[in-house]
Amino acid sequence: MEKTILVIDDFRNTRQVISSTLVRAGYRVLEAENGREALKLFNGEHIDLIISDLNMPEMDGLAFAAEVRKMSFYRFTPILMLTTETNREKKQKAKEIGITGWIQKPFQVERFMKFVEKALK
Amino acid sequence: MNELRQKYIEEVTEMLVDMEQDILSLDETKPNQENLQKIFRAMHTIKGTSGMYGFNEIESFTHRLENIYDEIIEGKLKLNSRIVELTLQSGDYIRSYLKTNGEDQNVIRKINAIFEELEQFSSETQQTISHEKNHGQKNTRTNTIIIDFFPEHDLFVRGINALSTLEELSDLGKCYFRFITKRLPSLNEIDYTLAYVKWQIVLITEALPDEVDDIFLFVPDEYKIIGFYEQDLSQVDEITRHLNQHSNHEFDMAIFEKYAQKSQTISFTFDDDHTAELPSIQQPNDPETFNEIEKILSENTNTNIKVSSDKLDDLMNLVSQLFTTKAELQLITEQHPEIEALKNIAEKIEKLTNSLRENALTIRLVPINEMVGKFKRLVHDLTNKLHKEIDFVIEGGDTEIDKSIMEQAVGPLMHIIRNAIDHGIEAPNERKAKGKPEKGVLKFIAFYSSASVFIQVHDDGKGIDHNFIRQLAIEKGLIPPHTALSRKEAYDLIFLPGFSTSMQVSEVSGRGFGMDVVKKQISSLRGEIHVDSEIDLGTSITLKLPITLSIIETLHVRISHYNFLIPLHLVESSFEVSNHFLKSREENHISLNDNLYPFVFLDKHFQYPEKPEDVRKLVLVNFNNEKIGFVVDSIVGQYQAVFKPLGDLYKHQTDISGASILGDGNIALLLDVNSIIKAALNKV
Repeated sequence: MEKTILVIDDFRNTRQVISSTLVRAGYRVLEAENGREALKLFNGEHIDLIISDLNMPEMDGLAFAAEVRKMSFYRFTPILMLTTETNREKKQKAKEIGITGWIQKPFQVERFMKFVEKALK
Repeated sequence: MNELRQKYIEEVTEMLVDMEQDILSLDETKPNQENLQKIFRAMHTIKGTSGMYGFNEIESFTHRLENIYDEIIEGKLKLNSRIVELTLQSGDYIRSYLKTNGEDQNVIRKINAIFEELEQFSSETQQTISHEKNHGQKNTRTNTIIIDFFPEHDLFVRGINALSTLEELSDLGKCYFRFITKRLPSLNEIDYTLAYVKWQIVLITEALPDEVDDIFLFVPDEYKIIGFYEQDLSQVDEITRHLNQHSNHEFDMAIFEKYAQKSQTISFTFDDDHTAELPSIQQPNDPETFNEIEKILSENTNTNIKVSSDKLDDLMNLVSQLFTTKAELQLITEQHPEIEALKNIAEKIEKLTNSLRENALTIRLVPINEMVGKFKRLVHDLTNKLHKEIDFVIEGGDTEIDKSIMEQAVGPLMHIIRNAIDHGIEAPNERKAKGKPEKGVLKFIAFYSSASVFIQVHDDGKGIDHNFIRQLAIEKGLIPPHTALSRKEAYDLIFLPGFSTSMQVSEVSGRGFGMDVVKKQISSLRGEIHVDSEIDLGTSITLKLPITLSIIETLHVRISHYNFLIPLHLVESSFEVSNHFLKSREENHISLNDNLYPFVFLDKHFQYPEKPEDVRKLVLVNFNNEKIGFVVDSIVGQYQAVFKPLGDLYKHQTDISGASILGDGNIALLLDVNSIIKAALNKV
């Protein structure tokens, strides 16, 4: 069965780059502009992986991740954060919330896919 | 003398089998030194012993081969496919030579021919050296990486799969895992969403630490490489395991350190006469720990002993008897509750007996890898003969199964593999035309599921069309025209006697037995066989085999006051029925789900008095597609029976095929469903 990946980023451009990369690799992609929009998509939908930007208006990546982890159905769904952040303290906090891993921006497609494939295993 | 000679022949045959394995796993372009050494040593040993028993041809012949491998090891000669081929043939002719006691002139002539061809390789030596120098040798190092993996409790809630991380590690090379369960709380405190276990891993690999770092991408702070050695230290884990006695113990890194330093001095030396010496370990300065290691190492080299299967059967018999005695003891204990000491002893005996039984049952199990060598050889020979290119992939070779089952499954599997190569996988150019990779893949997969072992042979060849099978079956008159068949039913037609899908009979798989014989043989092992296929994607054939023949999953039923067992795999379903109702049926037929089945009253069959109660159970059994109902008094439940033959005294009776001792010490008889069905159908 094809895997479903939810991509959240407030920049349309970034979102499209990521989506098209993933679609080309054979995944089904859902898109959202921010955390709040993304939460509306959940509703029992099967999601295999979430890729989210960290800094977004309305609801940022961490607040969103915290909401996801509250839903028992998505408790173990891997979440990858896109970020330029290197602050250790913030990363520690993200880990406590339940973030699976970090993808540093800007990224190369090859490296990005490696993260995705690994998270989906 | 004769006995010794027999032993020698057995030994040589075994060595040849091992050697074949080693040769077939050699990568010609980059031969593994360890395997080359093994082949060399096998030849050396065969040479030595053959001389002793007067088989001079073998002696000089193996001497030649030994020299060739020595030159390959030293880099003077390059391994090529012709040498591999000749070595394999040598194995075959040595076997025939021994079988014919060295008297068959044909065999000797063949051996001499191979001998002469091998001579040539040696004269090419000079040339090869210069060639070798130009190329230079690629040297892949084997490293030992020791990793501590200590995930935090919240690992799973971060969406990380620990198992896949460990699997990725084992993809890199040979892995020894050790679980550290110190953090595990008591059972009622365990929260299943949390990770408690720590791992320590010894990884023997050609990979470098960087690649390990990549695997732990998402857990950079929860692992640490605690040791890295540019050597293969695989035996050290064995050592620490022995020293620590149990595995829930962290590594003593000092042992690795010490061993790593000392093993630098281990050397393989060959003297001028090309005789191999065992690796000698130089005496270290602090001999105490090291001697211990050395002792364990030498113990480790020989952990298998051969035992005749008669002895194993005797052991099983004794264990069964012990089981009955245990039940008697329990009975006496219950009658004398006042003796406290007796109760304690009875409990201990019960535990010991149970684990003894478990243990005894596993002794007969051997890893499937033991038969895989034969298949590798078959694939190798057939691909050459048929000019095909095939990658033979084996998965789950360490799955264990009863030796006698394995031996009887070899024939059918050989047939299946032969079919896959001959009819399944296409020739390279045909594959290319279809847009497939030229090299076909033949997979041999073994795994457990409940009490069975599954063996799957999968090829990525042309596949079989189920409509075509149906058509062919109709043409051959095996099924009436217009029969509606499911996909599965269509594939099952392959197993009908007289059915063969091959359009033309080829030299390879056109003779011998057909798929109906395969099915018969598998059924006699209480196994099942299924086929699935997809046009141009390939065919997979799945065997389901019981792990052992001495344990049977059964349905435990009562008839009158007696216990009977029905093999569970023959039971289709069971119903509650009224005796009165059954008796009113004409000619003992009952209609169930729109089908009419004959049934038999087992109490009447065995001439037991009829029970007064009206409620009966009807067990519907299926044997070779003959379905029949057995009327019994009650069903007790499922029972895993260790089954024993009844002995010569009862060999003339036909309804019972064996007996088993129940947990309460009573005896239960195993119904021979086939003969009861036959007897009943004749009567009806």
